[in-house]
Amino acid sequence: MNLLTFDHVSFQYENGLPILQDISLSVGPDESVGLIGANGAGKTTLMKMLPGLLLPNEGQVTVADIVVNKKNLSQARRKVGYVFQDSDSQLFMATAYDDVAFGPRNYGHTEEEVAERVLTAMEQCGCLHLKDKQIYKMSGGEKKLVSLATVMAMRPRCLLLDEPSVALDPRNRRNLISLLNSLPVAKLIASHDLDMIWDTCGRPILIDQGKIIADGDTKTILQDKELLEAHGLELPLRLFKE
Amino acid sequence: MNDISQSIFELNHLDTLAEQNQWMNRRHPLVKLLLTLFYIILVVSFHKYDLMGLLAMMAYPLIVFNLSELSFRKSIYRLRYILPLVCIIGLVNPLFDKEMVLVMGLVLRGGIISMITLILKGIFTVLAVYLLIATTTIEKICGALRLLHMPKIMVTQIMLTYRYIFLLLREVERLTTSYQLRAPGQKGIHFKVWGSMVGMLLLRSIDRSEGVYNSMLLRGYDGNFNYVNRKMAMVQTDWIYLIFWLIILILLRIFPVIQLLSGFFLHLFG
Ligand SMILES: Nc1ncnc2c1ncn2[C@@H]1O[C@H](COP(=O)(O)OP(=O)(O)OP(=O)(O)O)[C@@H](O)[C@H]1O
Ligand SMILES: [Mg+2]
Repeated sequence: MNLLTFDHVSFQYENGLPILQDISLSVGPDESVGLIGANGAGKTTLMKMLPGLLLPNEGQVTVADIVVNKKNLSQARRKVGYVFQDSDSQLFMATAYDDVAFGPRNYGHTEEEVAERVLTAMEQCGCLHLKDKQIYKMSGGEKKLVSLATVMAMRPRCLLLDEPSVALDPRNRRNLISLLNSLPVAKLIASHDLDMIWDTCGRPILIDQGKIIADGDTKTILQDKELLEAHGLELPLRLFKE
Repeated sequence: MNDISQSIFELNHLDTLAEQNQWMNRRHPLVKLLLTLFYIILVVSFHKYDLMGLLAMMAYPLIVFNLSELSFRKSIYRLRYILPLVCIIGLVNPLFDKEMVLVMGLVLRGGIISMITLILKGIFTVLAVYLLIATTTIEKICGALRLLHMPKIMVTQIMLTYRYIFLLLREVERLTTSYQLRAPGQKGIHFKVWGSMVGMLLLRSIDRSEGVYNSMLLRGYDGNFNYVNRKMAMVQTDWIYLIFWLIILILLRIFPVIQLLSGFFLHLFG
Protein backbone atom coordinates (compact mmCIF):
# COMPACT_ATOMS: atom_id res chain seq x y z
CA MET A 1 0.00 0.00 0.00
CA ASN A 2 1.22 3.50 -0.72
CA LEU A 3 0.76 6.35 1.68
CA LEU A 4 1.13 9.18 -0.80
CA THR A 5 0.55 9.00 -4.52
CA PHE A 6 0.63 11.42 -7.42
CA ASP A 7 -1.03 10.06 -10.51
CA HIS A 8 -0.25 12.04 -13.69
CA VAL A 9 -0.63 15.32 -11.88
CA SER A 10 -0.30 18.66 -13.65
CA PHE A 11 -0.65 22.04 -12.08
CA GLN A 12 -0.53 25.68 -13.04
CA TYR A 13 -1.18 28.86 -11.11
CA GLU A 14 -3.82 31.28 -12.39
CA ASN A 15 -1.34 33.09 -14.60
CA GLY A 16 -1.21 29.96 -16.72
CA LEU A 17 2.43 28.92 -16.75
CA PRO A 18 2.62 25.18 -16.14
CA ILE A 19 4.51 24.53 -12.90
CA LEU A 20 4.10 20.78 -12.50
CA GLN A 21 3.84 18.56 -15.53
CA ASP A 22 2.62 15.00 -15.49
CA ILE A 23 4.04 14.03 -12.11
CA SER A 24 3.63 10.43 -11.01
CA LEU A 25 5.20 9.10 -7.86
CA SER A 26 4.37 7.21 -4.72
CA VAL A 27 5.71 7.07 -1.21
CA GLY A 28 5.36 4.05 1.07
CA PRO A 29 4.20 4.16 4.69
CA ASP A 30 7.71 3.93 6.20
CA GLU A 31 9.67 5.67 3.53
CA SER A 32 11.72 8.85 3.77
CA VAL A 33 11.86 10.63 0.48
CA GLY A 34 13.89 13.70 -0.38
CA LEU A 35 12.58 16.19 -2.89
CA ILE A 36 15.52 17.98 -4.44
CA GLY A 37 15.75 20.63 -7.11
CA ALA A 38 16.98 24.16 -7.74
CA ASN A 39 15.06 27.29 -6.66
CA GLY A 40 11.74 27.48 -8.44
CA ALA A 41 11.79 23.82 -9.50
CA GLY A 42 8.36 23.25 -8.02
CA LYS A 43 9.15 21.49 -4.74
CA THR A 44 6.93 23.67 -2.57
CA THR A 45 4.12 23.57 -5.10
CA LEU A 46 4.24 19.78 -5.15
CA MET A 47 4.19 19.54 -1.37
CA LYS A 48 1.25 21.91 -1.08
CA MET A 49 -0.88 19.53 -3.10
CA LEU A 50 -0.77 16.80 -0.46
CA PRO A 51 -2.85 18.61 2.17
CA GLY A 52 -4.89 20.15 -0.64
CA LEU A 53 -3.66 23.71 -0.26
CA LEU A 54 -3.43 23.49 -4.03
CA LEU A 55 -5.59 21.13 -6.05
CA PRO A 56 -4.36 19.54 -9.29
CA ASN A 57 -5.59 20.79 -12.65
CA GLU A 58 -5.18 17.29 -14.01
CA GLY A 59 -4.53 13.93 -12.41
CA GLN A 60 -5.09 12.80 -8.87
CA VAL A 61 -3.35 13.02 -5.53
CA THR A 62 -4.08 10.56 -2.74
CA VAL A 63 -3.11 10.46 0.92
CA ALA A 64 -3.61 7.16 2.77
CA ASP A 65 -6.00 6.11 0.00
CA ILE A 66 -8.06 9.27 0.38
CA VAL A 67 -8.38 11.25 -2.81
CA VAL A 68 -7.45 14.85 -2.10
CA ASN A 69 -10.34 16.94 -3.40
CA LYS A 70 -12.67 19.54 -2.00
CA LYS A 71 -14.92 16.97 -0.43
CA ASN A 72 -12.27 14.94 1.43
CA LEU A 73 -10.09 17.83 2.41
CA SER A 74 -10.43 17.66 6.18
CA GLN A 75 -9.95 13.86 6.23
CA ALA A 76 -6.84 14.04 4.09
CA ARG A 77 -5.44 16.85 6.19
CA ARG A 78 -5.54 14.79 9.35
CA LYS A 79 -3.08 12.33 7.82
CA VAL A 80 -0.30 14.72 6.95
CA GLY A 81 1.64 17.26 8.92
CA TYR A 82 3.04 20.13 6.93
CA VAL A 83 5.98 22.18 8.18
CA PHE A 84 6.13 25.38 6.13
CA GLN A 85 9.26 26.80 4.58
CA ASP A 86 8.58 30.01 6.49
CA SER A 87 7.96 29.59 10.23
CA ASP A 88 6.30 32.99 10.46
CA SER A 89 3.39 31.61 8.48
CA GLN A 90 3.22 28.52 10.60
CA LEU A 91 3.04 30.11 14.02
CA PHE A 92 0.33 32.54 14.99
CA MET A 93 -0.48 32.21 18.65
CA ALA A 94 1.17 34.22 21.40
CA THR A 95 3.19 31.50 23.13
CA ALA A 96 4.80 28.30 21.90
CA TYR A 97 2.59 26.16 24.13
CA ASP A 98 -0.63 27.59 22.73
CA ASP A 99 0.58 27.27 19.20
CA VAL A 100 1.48 23.62 19.60
CA ALA A 101 -1.84 23.05 21.39
CA PHE A 102 -3.90 24.65 18.61
CA GLY A 103 -4.13 21.51 16.45
CA PRO A 104 -4.94 18.97 19.19
CA ARG A 105 -7.52 21.34 20.66
CA ASN A 106 -9.25 21.70 17.31
CA TYR A 107 -9.40 17.94 17.02
CA GLY A 108 -11.42 17.78 20.18
CA HIS A 109 -9.00 16.33 22.71
CA THR A 110 -9.47 17.02 26.39
CA GLU A 111 -7.14 19.51 27.99
CA GLU A 112 -5.12 16.72 29.69
CA GLU A 113 -4.63 14.92 26.40
CA VAL A 114 -3.69 18.21 24.79
CA ALA A 115 -1.09 18.90 27.47
CA GLU A 116 0.33 15.41 27.11
CA ARG A 117 0.61 15.76 23.33
CA VAL A 118 2.10 19.22 23.51
CA LEU A 119 4.76 18.31 26.06
CA THR A 120 5.69 15.09 24.27
CA ALA A 121 5.94 16.83 20.92
CA MET A 122 8.02 19.68 22.31
CA GLU A 123 10.29 17.25 24.11
CA GLN A 124 10.72 15.22 20.90
CA CYS A 125 11.61 18.32 18.96
CA GLY A 126 14.01 19.61 21.56
CA CYS A 127 12.11 22.78 22.30
CA LEU A 128 10.49 22.04 25.62
CA HIS A 129 12.44 24.84 27.26
CA LEU A 130 10.68 27.31 24.94
CA LYS A 131 7.23 26.29 26.15
CA ASP A 132 6.24 29.59 27.70
CA LYS A 133 8.29 31.86 25.51
CA GLN A 134 6.54 34.32 23.25
CA ILE A 135 6.86 33.43 19.59
CA TYR A 136 7.63 37.02 18.75
CA LYS A 137 10.79 36.87 20.82
CA MET A 138 12.19 33.69 19.28
CA SER A 139 15.11 33.26 16.92
CA GLY A 140 14.61 31.75 13.47
CA GLY A 141 15.93 28.37 14.57
CA GLU A 142 13.77 28.25 17.68
CA LYS A 143 10.70 29.01 15.59
CA LYS A 144 11.62 26.15 13.27
CA LEU A 145 11.71 23.66 16.12
CA VAL A 146 8.41 24.91 17.49
CA SER A 147 6.87 24.65 14.01
CA LEU A 148 7.92 21.04 13.87
CA ALA A 149 6.38 20.46 17.29
CA THR A 150 3.06 22.01 16.22
CA VAL A 151 2.85 19.36 13.55
CA MET A 152 4.13 16.44 15.63
CA ALA A 153 1.54 17.16 18.30
CA MET A 154 -1.10 16.13 15.78
CA ARG A 155 0.58 12.73 15.34
CA PRO A 156 0.38 12.63 11.55
CA ARG A 157 1.00 9.53 9.44
CA CYS A 158 3.35 11.49 7.27
CA LEU A 159 5.54 14.55 7.71
CA LEU A 160 5.97 17.05 4.93
CA LEU A 161 8.95 19.28 5.53
CA ASP A 162 9.80 22.23 3.35
CA GLU A 163 13.44 23.28 3.82
CA PRO A 164 13.59 22.13 7.44
CA SER A 165 17.29 22.82 7.96
CA VAL A 166 17.19 26.46 6.91
CA ALA A 167 17.95 28.80 9.83
CA LEU A 168 19.35 26.07 12.06
CA ASP A 169 22.85 26.24 13.50
CA PRO A 170 25.08 23.17 13.04
CA ARG A 171 24.16 21.65 16.37
CA ASN A 172 20.42 22.07 15.90
CA ARG A 173 20.77 20.87 12.33
CA ARG A 174 22.40 17.67 13.60
CA ASN A 175 19.72 17.36 16.26
CA LEU A 176 17.04 17.78 13.63
CA ILE A 177 18.60 15.07 11.49
CA SER A 178 18.68 12.58 14.34
CA LEU A 179 15.20 13.65 15.36
CA LEU A 180 13.87 13.06 11.85
CA ASN A 181 15.56 9.68 11.71
CA SER A 182 13.98 8.68 14.99
CA LEU A 183 10.42 9.62 14.08
CA PRO A 184 8.44 6.57 13.06
CA VAL A 185 6.44 8.20 10.28
CA ALA A 186 6.83 8.61 6.54
CA LYS A 187 8.66 11.75 5.49
CA LEU A 188 8.81 13.89 2.42
CA ILE A 189 11.57 16.45 2.72
CA ALA A 190 12.13 19.24 0.23
CA SER A 191 15.58 20.74 0.46
CA HIS A 192 18.68 22.03 -1.25
CA ASP A 193 20.69 20.73 1.69
CA LEU A 194 21.79 17.53 0.00
CA ASP A 195 23.88 16.52 2.98
CA MET A 196 20.79 16.48 5.10
CA ILE A 197 18.93 14.52 2.45
CA TRP A 198 21.84 12.08 2.40
CA ASP A 199 21.50 11.58 6.16
CA THR A 200 17.74 11.37 6.35
CA CYS A 201 16.34 9.98 3.12
CA GLY A 202 16.73 6.63 1.49
CA ARG A 203 15.37 7.91 -1.77
CA PRO A 204 15.76 11.30 -3.40
CA ILE A 205 13.56 12.56 -6.22
CA LEU A 206 15.14 15.19 -8.41
CA ILE A 207 12.78 17.64 -10.07
CA ASP A 208 13.47 20.45 -12.45
CA GLN A 209 10.97 22.79 -14.07
CA GLY A 210 8.08 20.77 -12.73
CA LYS A 211 9.18 17.40 -14.09
CA ILE A 212 10.66 14.39 -12.36
CA ILE A 213 14.21 13.96 -13.65
CA ALA A 214 15.41 11.14 -11.46
CA ASP A 215 14.02 8.91 -8.75
CA GLY A 216 16.18 6.26 -7.12
CA ASP A 217 18.40 5.44 -4.21
CA THR A 218 20.45 8.02 -2.36
CA LYS A 219 23.95 6.82 -3.24
CA THR A 220 23.25 6.66 -6.95
CA ILE A 221 21.60 10.02 -7.37
CA LEU A 222 23.53 12.14 -4.89
CA GLN A 223 26.89 10.94 -6.24
CA ASP A 224 26.00 11.66 -9.84
CA LYS A 225 27.86 14.94 -10.33
CA GLU A 226 26.80 15.50 -13.93
CA LEU A 227 23.14 14.86 -13.25
CA LEU A 228 23.09 17.21 -10.28
CA GLU A 229 24.98 19.98 -12.02
CA ALA A 230 22.81 19.76 -15.11
CA HIS A 231 19.86 20.66 -12.89
CA GLY A 232 21.35 23.43 -10.82
CA LEU A 233 22.59 21.44 -7.84
CA GLU A 234 25.96 20.40 -6.49
CA LEU A 235 27.37 17.27 -4.91
CA PRO A 236 26.80 17.00 -1.17
CA LEU A 237 29.66 18.67 0.71
CA ARG A 238 30.80 15.47 2.34
CA LEU A 239 31.80 14.09 -1.06
CA PHE A 240 34.22 16.97 -1.60
CA LYS A 241 36.27 16.06 1.40
CA GLU A 242 37.51 12.84 -0.06
CA MET B 1 13.45 50.06 20.76
CA ASN B 2 11.81 52.04 17.96
CA ASP B 3 8.13 52.97 17.86
CA ILE B 4 7.08 49.94 15.87
CA SER B 5 8.87 47.40 18.02
CA GLN B 6 7.30 49.17 20.96
CA SER B 7 3.79 48.74 19.56
CA ILE B 8 4.39 45.09 18.80
CA PHE B 9 5.69 44.62 22.27
CA GLU B 10 2.61 46.25 23.79
CA LEU B 11 0.18 44.28 21.66
CA ASN B 12 1.95 41.11 22.66
CA HIS B 13 1.78 42.16 26.22
CA LEU B 14 -1.98 42.47 25.89
CA ASP B 15 -2.06 38.86 24.72
CA THR B 16 0.00 37.82 27.69
CA LEU B 17 -2.31 39.67 30.06
CA ALA B 18 -5.30 37.95 28.54
CA GLU B 19 -3.70 34.55 29.09
CA GLN B 20 -3.08 35.02 32.77
CA ASN B 21 -4.99 32.89 35.18
CA GLN B 22 -6.55 35.63 37.30
CA TRP B 23 -10.04 35.62 38.73
CA MET B 24 -11.25 38.00 36.07
CA ASN B 25 -9.62 36.02 33.26
CA ARG B 26 -11.44 32.92 34.42
CA ARG B 27 -14.90 34.49 34.13
CA HIS B 28 -16.92 33.11 31.26
CA PRO B 29 -16.13 35.04 28.06
CA LEU B 30 -19.81 35.30 27.17
CA VAL B 31 -20.52 37.05 30.47
CA LYS B 32 -17.74 39.54 29.90
CA LEU B 33 -18.74 40.12 26.31
CA LEU B 34 -22.40 40.68 27.14
CA LEU B 35 -21.60 42.99 30.03
CA THR B 36 -19.24 45.01 27.87
CA LEU B 37 -21.87 45.41 25.17
CA PHE B 38 -24.58 46.24 27.68
CA TYR B 39 -22.35 48.76 29.39
CA ILE B 40 -21.51 50.48 26.12
CA ILE B 41 -25.15 50.69 25.11
CA LEU B 42 -26.08 52.23 28.47
CA VAL B 43 -23.21 54.71 28.35
CA VAL B 44 -24.09 55.84 24.87
CA SER B 45 -27.76 56.18 25.80
CA PHE B 46 -27.18 58.98 28.33
CA HIS B 47 -28.50 62.39 27.33
CA LYS B 48 -25.80 64.77 26.20
CA TYR B 49 -26.37 67.09 29.20
CA ASP B 50 -26.64 64.32 31.79
CA LEU B 51 -23.07 64.68 32.99
CA MET B 52 -23.76 63.62 36.57
CA GLY B 53 -25.60 60.50 35.54
CA LEU B 54 -22.83 59.54 33.18
CA LEU B 55 -20.12 60.13 35.76
CA ALA B 56 -21.66 57.45 37.94
CA MET B 57 -20.99 54.94 35.16
CA MET B 58 -17.32 55.30 36.00
CA ALA B 59 -18.00 52.72 38.70
CA TYR B 60 -17.83 49.87 36.19
CA PRO B 61 -14.36 50.44 34.74
CA LEU B 62 -12.98 51.40 38.14
CA ILE B 63 -14.19 48.27 39.86
CA VAL B 64 -13.37 45.96 36.97
CA PHE B 65 -9.89 47.44 36.85
CA ASN B 66 -9.40 46.45 40.44
CA LEU B 67 -10.87 43.00 39.97
CA SER B 68 -8.65 42.40 36.95
CA GLU B 69 -5.49 43.32 38.81
CA LEU B 70 -4.39 45.45 35.89
CA SER B 71 -2.23 48.46 36.44
CA PHE B 72 -4.35 51.55 35.79
CA ARG B 73 -1.34 53.70 35.01
CA LYS B 74 0.14 51.27 32.48
CA SER B 75 -3.22 50.77 30.85
CA ILE B 76 -3.75 54.47 30.36
CA TYR B 77 -0.25 54.64 28.95
CA ARG B 78 -1.08 51.84 26.53
CA LEU B 79 -4.17 53.73 25.39
CA ARG B 80 -2.21 56.95 24.86
CA TYR B 81 -2.85 57.01 21.10
CA ILE B 82 -6.54 56.25 21.26
CA LEU B 83 -7.69 58.47 24.11
CA PRO B 84 -6.51 61.77 22.56
CA LEU B 85 -8.44 60.86 19.41
CA VAL B 86 -11.58 60.47 21.46
CA CYS B 87 -10.95 63.87 23.03
CA ILE B 88 -10.43 65.62 19.70
CA ILE B 89 -13.82 64.43 18.52
CA GLY B 90 -15.36 65.98 21.64
CA LEU B 91 -13.44 69.25 21.35
CA VAL B 92 -15.22 70.49 18.25
CA ASN B 93 -18.55 70.10 19.96
CA PRO B 94 -18.83 73.52 21.75
CA LEU B 95 -18.73 75.23 18.35
CA PHE B 96 -22.11 73.81 17.46
CA ASP B 97 -23.89 73.70 20.79
CA LYS B 98 -24.57 77.15 22.27
CA GLU B 99 -27.44 76.40 24.65
CA MET B 100 -27.22 77.16 28.43
CA VAL B 101 -27.85 74.39 30.97
CA LEU B 102 -28.05 73.99 34.72
CA VAL B 103 -25.74 71.41 36.31
CA MET B 104 -25.64 71.01 40.08
CA GLY B 105 -26.80 74.55 40.62
CA LEU B 106 -24.42 76.09 38.08
CA VAL B 107 -25.45 77.60 34.76
CA LEU B 108 -23.04 76.40 32.12
CA ARG B 109 -22.68 76.59 28.35
CA GLY B 110 -24.40 73.48 26.99
CA GLY B 111 -21.57 73.01 24.52
CA ILE B 112 -19.07 72.52 27.31
CA ILE B 113 -21.24 69.97 29.07
CA SER B 114 -21.99 67.98 25.95
CA MET B 115 -18.32 68.07 25.06
CA ILE B 116 -17.44 66.56 28.40
CA THR B 117 -20.14 63.91 28.19
CA LEU B 118 -19.08 63.03 24.66
CA ILE B 119 -15.47 62.64 25.72
CA LEU B 120 -16.46 60.63 28.76
CA LYS B 121 -18.65 58.36 26.65
CA GLY B 122 -15.69 57.76 24.37
CA ILE B 123 -13.30 57.10 27.22
CA PHE B 124 -15.69 54.76 29.02
CA THR B 125 -16.28 52.79 25.84
CA VAL B 126 -12.57 52.46 25.14
CA LEU B 127 -11.90 51.41 28.71
CA ALA B 128 -14.66 48.81 28.68
CA VAL B 129 -13.34 47.28 25.47
CA TYR B 130 -9.79 47.39 26.78
CA LEU B 131 -10.85 45.62 29.95
CA LEU B 132 -12.50 42.92 27.88
CA ILE B 133 -9.49 42.22 25.68
CA ALA B 134 -6.97 42.51 28.47
CA THR B 135 -8.72 39.74 30.38
CA THR B 136 -10.04 37.55 27.57
CA THR B 137 -8.05 35.96 24.74
CA ILE B 138 -9.19 36.59 21.20
CA GLU B 139 -10.07 32.90 20.83
CA LYS B 140 -12.41 33.10 23.79
CA ILE B 141 -14.05 36.27 22.51
CA CYS B 142 -14.55 34.56 19.16
CA GLY B 143 -15.92 31.50 20.94
CA ALA B 144 -18.40 33.71 22.78
CA LEU B 145 -19.43 35.35 19.52
CA ARG B 146 -20.10 31.89 18.11
CA LEU B 147 -22.29 31.16 21.12
CA LEU B 148 -24.26 34.25 20.14
CA HIS B 149 -24.59 32.68 16.70
CA MET B 150 -22.53 35.20 14.86
CA PRO B 151 -21.78 33.64 11.43
CA LYS B 152 -18.53 31.65 11.21
CA ILE B 153 -17.17 33.74 8.44
CA MET B 154 -17.47 36.97 10.44
CA VAL B 155 -15.91 35.43 13.52
CA THR B 156 -13.00 34.08 11.48
CA GLN B 157 -12.61 37.52 9.98
CA ILE B 158 -12.37 39.10 13.42
CA MET B 159 -9.83 36.54 14.55
CA LEU B 160 -7.74 36.98 11.42
CA THR B 161 -7.92 40.76 11.58
CA TYR B 162 -6.56 40.61 15.09
CA ARG B 163 -3.69 38.36 14.01
CA TYR B 164 -3.23 40.48 10.91
CA ILE B 165 -2.39 43.55 12.98
CA PHE B 166 0.61 41.68 14.38
CA LEU B 167 1.72 40.49 10.99
CA LEU B 168 1.33 43.95 9.53
CA LEU B 169 3.34 45.56 12.31
CA ARG B 170 6.07 42.97 11.99
CA GLU B 171 6.26 43.57 8.24
CA VAL B 172 6.48 47.30 8.89
CA GLU B 173 9.29 46.62 11.30
CA ARG B 174 11.21 44.51 8.78
CA LEU B 175 10.71 46.95 5.93
CA THR B 176 11.68 50.05 7.89
CA THR B 177 14.70 48.28 9.35
CA SER B 178 15.94 47.22 5.95
CA TYR B 179 15.27 50.73 4.62
CA GLN B 180 17.11 52.39 7.45
CA LEU B 181 20.08 50.10 7.11
CA ARG B 182 20.41 51.16 3.51
CA ALA B 183 19.80 54.85 4.16
CA PRO B 184 21.98 55.54 7.15
CA GLY B 185 21.84 58.92 8.82
CA GLN B 186 18.41 59.66 7.44
CA LYS B 187 15.55 60.43 9.75
CA GLY B 188 12.25 58.81 8.92
CA ILE B 189 11.41 57.54 5.48
CA HIS B 190 11.64 59.68 2.38
CA PHE B 191 8.18 60.40 0.97
CA LYS B 192 9.23 59.21 -2.49
CA VAL B 193 9.41 55.60 -1.36
CA TRP B 194 6.19 55.72 0.63
CA GLY B 195 4.14 54.49 -2.30
CA SER B 196 6.21 51.45 -3.04
CA MET B 197 6.61 50.76 0.67
CA VAL B 198 2.89 50.70 1.25
CA GLY B 199 2.30 48.50 -1.78
CA MET B 200 5.02 46.10 -0.71
CA LEU B 201 3.64 46.06 2.78
CA LEU B 202 0.15 45.17 1.67
CA LEU B 203 1.31 42.40 -0.64
CA ARG B 204 3.62 40.90 1.91
CA SER B 205 1.18 40.99 4.75
CA ILE B 206 -1.60 39.56 2.60
CA ASP B 207 0.78 36.77 1.64
CA ARG B 208 1.62 36.15 5.21
CA SER B 209 -1.94 36.16 6.48
CA GLU B 210 -2.78 33.66 3.77
CA GLY B 211 0.03 31.51 5.11
CA VAL B 212 -1.30 31.80 8.62
CA TYR B 213 -4.81 30.97 7.51
CA ASN B 214 -3.50 27.87 5.73
CA SER B 215 -1.61 26.85 8.81
CA MET B 216 -4.83 27.18 10.83
CA LEU B 217 -6.78 25.11 8.32
CA LEU B 218 -4.14 22.39 8.30
CA ARG B 219 -4.46 22.12 12.03
CA GLY B 220 -8.15 21.46 12.01
CA TYR B 221 -9.54 25.00 12.28
CA ASP B 222 -13.13 25.06 11.03
CA GLY B 223 -14.39 28.41 12.27
CA ASN B 224 -16.25 26.93 15.20
CA PHE B 225 -14.00 27.49 18.19
CA ASN B 226 -15.47 24.32 19.64
CA TYR B 227 -12.43 23.69 21.74
CA VAL B 228 -12.83 27.05 23.42
CA ASN B 229 -16.48 26.57 24.19
CA ARG B 230 -16.09 23.00 25.32
CA LYS B 231 -13.61 24.10 27.95
CA MET B 232 -15.83 26.87 29.25
CA ALA B 233 -18.88 26.30 31.36
CA MET B 234 -20.83 28.97 33.19
CA VAL B 235 -20.25 28.43 36.88
CA GLN B 236 -22.21 29.95 39.73
CA THR B 237 -19.67 32.75 40.15
CA ASP B 238 -20.25 33.74 36.52
CA TRP B 239 -23.99 33.99 37.03
CA ILE B 240 -23.57 36.02 40.19
CA TYR B 241 -21.09 38.31 38.51
CA LEU B 242 -23.40 38.82 35.55
CA ILE B 243 -26.51 39.47 37.61
CA PHE B 244 -24.66 41.72 40.04
CA TRP B 245 -23.50 43.99 37.25
CA LEU B 246 -26.79 43.94 35.38
CA ILE B 247 -28.54 45.21 38.48
CA ILE B 248 -25.89 47.80 39.34
CA LEU B 249 -25.70 49.10 35.79
CA ILE B 250 -29.47 49.40 35.48
CA LEU B 251 -29.64 51.23 38.83
CA LEU B 252 -26.88 53.58 37.75
CA ARG B 253 -28.72 54.24 34.51
CA ILE B 254 -32.13 54.90 36.06
CA PHE B 255 -31.38 56.80 39.26
CA PRO B 256 -29.28 59.96 39.54
CA VAL B 257 -27.00 58.19 41.98
CA ILE B 258 -24.48 60.98 42.43
CA GLN B 259 -27.18 63.56 43.28
CA LEU B 260 -28.84 61.14 45.68
CA LEU B 261 -25.59 60.37 47.42
CA SER B 262 -24.51 63.98 47.72
CA GLY B 263 -27.99 64.88 49.01
CA PHE B 264 -27.67 62.14 51.56
CA PHE B 265 -24.29 63.33 52.78
CA LEU B 266 -25.43 66.96 52.89
CA HIS B 267 -28.35 65.87 55.02
CA LEU B 268 -26.06 63.85 57.29
CA PHE B 269 -23.50 66.56 57.94
CA GLY B 270 -25.49 69.71 57.28
N1 LIG C 1 1.41 31.93 -5.97
C1 LIG C 1 2.10 31.78 -7.11
N2 LIG C 1 1.62 32.30 -8.26
C2 LIG C 1 2.28 32.13 -9.41
N3 LIG C 1 3.43 31.46 -9.54
C3 LIG C 1 3.99 30.92 -8.44
C4 LIG C 1 3.35 31.04 -7.17
N4 LIG C 1 4.10 30.39 -6.26
C5 LIG C 1 5.17 29.90 -6.93
N5 LIG C 1 5.11 30.20 -8.23
C6 LIG C 1 6.06 29.79 -9.27
O1 LIG C 1 6.08 28.39 -9.32
C7 LIG C 1 7.41 27.92 -9.54
C8 LIG C 1 7.74 26.86 -8.53
O2 LIG C 1 7.73 27.44 -7.23
P1 LIG C 1 8.01 26.62 -5.92
O3 LIG C 1 7.80 27.55 -4.79
O4 LIG C 1 7.25 25.37 -5.96
O5 LIG C 1 9.58 26.31 -6.06
P2 LIG C 1 10.56 25.61 -5.05
O6 LIG C 1 11.13 24.43 -5.75
O7 LIG C 1 9.90 25.39 -3.75
O8 LIG C 1 11.70 26.71 -4.90
P3 LIG C 1 12.58 27.11 -3.63
O9 LIG C 1 13.69 26.16 -3.57
O10 LIG C 1 13.04 28.48 -3.97
O11 LIG C 1 11.69 27.11 -2.44
C9 LIG C 1 8.31 29.12 -9.49
O12 LIG C 1 8.67 29.45 -10.82
C10 LIG C 1 7.47 30.21 -8.90
O13 LIG C 1 7.78 31.45 -9.49
MG1 LIG D 1 10.13 26.13 -1.86
